[in-house]
Amino acid sequence: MDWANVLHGAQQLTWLEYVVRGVVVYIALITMVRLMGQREITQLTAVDFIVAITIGTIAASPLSMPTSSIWAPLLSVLVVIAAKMINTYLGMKSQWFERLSSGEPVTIIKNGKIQEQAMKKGLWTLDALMAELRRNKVFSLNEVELAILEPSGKINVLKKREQQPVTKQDLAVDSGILFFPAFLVKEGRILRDNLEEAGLSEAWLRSQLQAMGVDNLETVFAAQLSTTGVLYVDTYDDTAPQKKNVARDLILIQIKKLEAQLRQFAQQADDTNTRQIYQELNTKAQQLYQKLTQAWGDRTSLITSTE
Amino acid sequence: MKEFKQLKSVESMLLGLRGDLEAESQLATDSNEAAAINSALEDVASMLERIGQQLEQARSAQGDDTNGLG
Repeated sequence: MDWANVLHGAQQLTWLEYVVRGVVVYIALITMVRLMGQREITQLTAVDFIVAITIGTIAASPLSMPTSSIWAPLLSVLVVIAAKMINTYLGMKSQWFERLSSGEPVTIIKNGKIQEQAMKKGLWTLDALMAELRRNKVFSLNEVELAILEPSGKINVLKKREQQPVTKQDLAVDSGILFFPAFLVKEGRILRDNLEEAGLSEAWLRSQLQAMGVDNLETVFAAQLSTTGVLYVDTYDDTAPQKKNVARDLILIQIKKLEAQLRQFAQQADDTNTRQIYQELNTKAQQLYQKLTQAWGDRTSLITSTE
Repeated sequence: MKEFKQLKSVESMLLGLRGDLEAESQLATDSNEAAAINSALEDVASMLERIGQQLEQARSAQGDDTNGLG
């Protein structure tokens, strides 16, 4: 293999020289494209598209034409990328320049009404609009409050309020995350740091494992705590029967969460009557908790950590 | 509206608790456990009833507000 042939080209190249050229061009292109930044990959505007095609076309010549030098095309690609980076930089500095080079978002549907002028200007047909809406899981124009055509050519849709799914915020429900999901046992060994971080004791862990029918810690391949406090246990012996009786701890956690929620709502209540109801329910929840802990035994190691 | 959402949230938690207690009652191994769970279920039912009444009131209040606006 002759490196001069690889880099400067020749009338004829050996197959090995073709392969090395391909690898060199590939590595050079990857390096240069990475310089352009993540934005280019995720938000392809019309300009980005043209730049990508130009780079591809230029980079193809040293791979298909043996007489072509490798340097000139790579230099050309570098110039195109530099121009694109300058373009991006100027766009970041000047809104006017950004709009000039990349275009600007256009409102296609506003207050549920199609903007015919904007459709004409963007050469959009109703069928094309419906196809884009369907991509956004919208199948009827009646569902749309606002639709914006982005410079990338994609349409983003805001559904009408009544069409939007109910969120946890709407229902004033918290995220339900009590613990950071972490392994408590790995290959028979207790991970004490994780146990401590979750505010749980070794005694609790062992009682949980026993409740699942696991008496020997060395038989546990992995035990992981979920966000809601459920312990997932996998033993080496997958045929060994396990009692999955962690439901009681979950019930107690739920009651504690309910108590916390009721306390919070009582503090937030605007009128005395509502506050009294929340306080009354909170007292009932506390009594319920006591009743169950008396029947099921002491589980304070778990509960302390959830408060 | 805030009160209505909060009440719905409490109702949702209580319904979840009731479901879990019902499932647990099927697994109770002795009569003491079963009695404790049944008693807990009654408590939850009474809390749900209280929330239900309050929700009705909140609904009516919202209806009144809407009528007032109309």
